[in-house]
Amino acid sequence: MEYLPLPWLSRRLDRPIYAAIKPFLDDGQRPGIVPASGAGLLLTRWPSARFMAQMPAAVPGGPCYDTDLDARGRRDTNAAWEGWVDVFLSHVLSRPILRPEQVRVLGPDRDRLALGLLRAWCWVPEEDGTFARLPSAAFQDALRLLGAKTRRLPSELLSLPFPAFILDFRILMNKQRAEPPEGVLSPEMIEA
Amino acid sequence: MSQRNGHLPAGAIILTLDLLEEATTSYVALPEVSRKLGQDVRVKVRAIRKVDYFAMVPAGPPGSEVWGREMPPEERIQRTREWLDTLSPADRAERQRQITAVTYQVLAIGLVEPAVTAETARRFADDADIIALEILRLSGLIPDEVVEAPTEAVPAPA
Repeated sequence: MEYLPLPWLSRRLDRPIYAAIKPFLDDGQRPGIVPASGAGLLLTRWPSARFMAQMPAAVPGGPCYDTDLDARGRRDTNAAWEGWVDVFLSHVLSRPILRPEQVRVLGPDRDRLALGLLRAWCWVPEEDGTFARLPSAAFQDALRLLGAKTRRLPSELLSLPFPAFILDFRILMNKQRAEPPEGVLSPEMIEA
Repeated sequence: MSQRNGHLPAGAIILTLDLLEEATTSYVALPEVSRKLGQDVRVKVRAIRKVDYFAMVPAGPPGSEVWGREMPPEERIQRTREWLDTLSPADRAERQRQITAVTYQVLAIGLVEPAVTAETARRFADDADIIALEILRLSGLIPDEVVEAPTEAVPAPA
């Protein structure tokens, strides 16, 4: 388990506050924070791949946000992003349970928590500042590749816990990089 | 935490909605009203949703999208003022009306006691800015250290 410190809430409630996050991979090797006795916790759960595929296209501050949007576009992008963050945190907080309109009770730590969760679950923006999402080409490619290799339907893949979906996808990508295409032998193999 | 996710650390407590509500609720002193009444007058405010705030604010000045994230707030304010100077009196008045309306709308959703509408929030006069700033601070929309009310909404850095 990983514990993300929430400093603003800690100051306001006069006790250390953390979000408990089950990470993408937990090998038990990383030294982590151990909450002191009396600490306050928010508990989180994994979202499904389907849920994560519904995020807005652009993240405020991403390169595409900086270059492609005028002032009005930025305002609208900010609104779309903030709306999604409320829905996201409402979806992944298991205790206490918050409705999207109640997520405001996290105060300034709301953003820290949302980004901390996205990082812990390896959901990173593309180089242009967008996220791979449905129906983007990047996400369609991931679904197609995973479906072909694991012989599972897209609907089944999208029902996976999000970290499992990402793990499957990354294993597949690493395997593809490691294995040469069929019929092509490396120089070492030819010599042997 | 559920069995699937491991165990809670010893002595830790799980936060409740009530505790979080308490953390994002504050009492704001009203200097003008307090001076007029000769006693300390405070109102109770709470955090608001960022999505609601962004739905209220007018877009930044044209060209503000290229100001860059590293631009200091003082320069943003200065540039915004320079842009305002280029507007016709009617457009400038309209812009000011939109900005002022945001203050009262923030009070309408962030003021707990007394509860107000955007219309009745106008009774707070100069204290309205102080109340709005505390609501925005609790909501993570402005940093804690900002204490001076801007006279014009400044586009937030990306």
